[in-house]
Amino acid sequence: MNLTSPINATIIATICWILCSVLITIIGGEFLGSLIIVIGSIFIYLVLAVTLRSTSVAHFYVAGREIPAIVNGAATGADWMSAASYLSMAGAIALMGYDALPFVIGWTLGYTLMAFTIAPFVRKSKTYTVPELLERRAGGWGPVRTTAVIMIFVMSLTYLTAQLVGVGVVFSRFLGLPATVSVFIGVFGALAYAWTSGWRSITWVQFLQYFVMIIMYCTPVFIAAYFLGLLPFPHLQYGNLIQEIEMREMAFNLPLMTEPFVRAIGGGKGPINWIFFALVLMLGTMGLPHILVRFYTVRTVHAARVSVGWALTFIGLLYVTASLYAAIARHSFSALWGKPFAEVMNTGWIQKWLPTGLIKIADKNADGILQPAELVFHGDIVVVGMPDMFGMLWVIAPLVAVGGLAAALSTADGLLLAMSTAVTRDIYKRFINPQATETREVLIVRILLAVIGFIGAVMAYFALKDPGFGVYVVLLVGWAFVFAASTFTPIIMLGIFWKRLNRYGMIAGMITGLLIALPYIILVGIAKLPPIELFGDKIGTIGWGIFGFFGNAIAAVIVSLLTKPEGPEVEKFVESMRLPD
Amino acid sequence: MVDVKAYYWRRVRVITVIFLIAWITIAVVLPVAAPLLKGVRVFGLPSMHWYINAFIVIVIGVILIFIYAALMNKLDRDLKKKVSEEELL
Repeated sequence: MNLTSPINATIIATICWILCSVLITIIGGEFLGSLIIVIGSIFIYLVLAVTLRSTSVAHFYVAGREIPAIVNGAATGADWMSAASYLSMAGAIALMGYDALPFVIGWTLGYTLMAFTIAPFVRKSKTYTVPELLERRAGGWGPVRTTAVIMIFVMSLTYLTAQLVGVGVVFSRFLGLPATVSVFIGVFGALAYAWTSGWRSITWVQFLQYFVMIIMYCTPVFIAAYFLGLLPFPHLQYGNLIQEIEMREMAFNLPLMTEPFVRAIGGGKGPINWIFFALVLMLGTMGLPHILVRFYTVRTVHAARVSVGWALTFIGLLYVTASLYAAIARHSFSALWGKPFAEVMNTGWIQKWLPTGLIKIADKNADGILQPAELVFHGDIVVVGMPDMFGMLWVIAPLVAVGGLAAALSTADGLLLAMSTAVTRDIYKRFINPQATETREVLIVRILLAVIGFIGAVMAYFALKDPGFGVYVVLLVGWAFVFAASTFTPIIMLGIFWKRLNRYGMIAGMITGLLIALPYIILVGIAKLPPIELFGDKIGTIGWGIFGFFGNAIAAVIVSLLTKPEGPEVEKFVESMRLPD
Repeated sequence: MVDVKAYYWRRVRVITVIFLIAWITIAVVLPVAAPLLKGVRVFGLPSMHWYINAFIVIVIGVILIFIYAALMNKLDRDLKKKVSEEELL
């Protein structure tokens, strides 16, 4: 048996992990066992990454363009689903009900549009990075490439910080370890997987991480569904559960969980803001660099098309489960309303989670009965607390943590690599040292991985230390979608479908998009000025991104028409993107 | 040869427009119209206005991608066949 083949090595590492976890649990108890389960998972991925090591630039930049469609789909899913999707989205739905559903449709349906407007054409362009694609499209004009690299950093660096914060949160929520220290464990893992062979190693690691993540996410839901009698298809059977929640809400005169447009989202309110918010998340998805890169890594254009389908299948599995999670958690919470305080305090999971501050209980009107307003919960309790709500075996909780860690690490990896390869190929190789050898390029990528990883970890450390700064990290991740939607997305779409688009149009579009999006974010999002109202609906900073998107497209078209066309070489490039080989 | 390529791109554009309309339907029209279906319940499902956004549009979104991939991959094969036939003549 060949011990160094990726599959064998991973299986052996997994067996070691299980044996160690069992052994340590028997010797050292549940806490040490949990610790080994969670940290051990990092080492399984490491073993897989090391077996895939390579020093070829094609492996680093585009995984050698040899990833099968279904594997690429799963890796896209892991790349995409972050610590926030895994830990916090179900909680957001439990807290905000219908008004949090833009997260569900906004973070999924972008893939459908991307499948027929961007993905196959990006693969067909035969370039290595998005800035390179844009430069080719602009007739080899350097400034477009540089602008694109800067935009990649604007979008990815805060996003990376948020992932590393997520790692810290996983460790502190599940194991009670200090989040600030755990950040550095996380960044070590992410770095190591990308270090071995860039996109090649992280694609296969992400493939594994996807299945870890989805199994760990669904396990508690299905166990809970068993207790609630919702098997075998809880996703198709939770109607009565929602109805029970609604009855309890009505009994206490609360706005229903399913009632549309009663709560604010993204700083705005009402149906217009609701749909704008969802659309900006969709359009932003299509412009995020670590997702666009994914379509370079497949074998053929055919595979690129199919791989988007698999990606949304895999992503959709988690997203349709989130609303079920939310319903089950809200059902557990609402069961406590109207109960005497003594009884509530004796509930096992309340006792366990009260000290963490994720649940707060206070008898405000001193009547000895728990009113809904007297039970305040943090969104994260929905996923991390579910195993306790139903008294599941202790081992479920660390397994859920393993999934959360996989979600955070896989996304962090994609971002780290998107940034490092952009600087290496689009700045170093393009402008500084065009004669660089392969060995040199790989070395630069690896150095940058370490540098950017360290910067991300330090930022995450401060975000966790100073909650005021942490709030901005969360907001900035949302704004990354605004920036993507108002800079890259329209330009790439126009570049494929409209030959007349030229270099000046591209720059004008990106600048106009930014000029529309950025001041609103600064004035409304940071300086807290009142938002603009459209037909009586307040438009939040994220929803506003829709104007950045259209402003970008309009400016690009007008400026292109006013200046001279790019000429035959660019036309040939566009045609080569459109036609099959 | 040029004709075949122009024909191919025309077909791609038609397919793209059809899918764009389909996408607008599931990503804008259905979610915006969903609240009208409040209280409509089928079998054991939650109220339709909730379920459309939490489940149905995502499933349709996945199906659309696979249909597009199948259509386009077939069109690509047809084009290849035509081009090789022309080269033979």
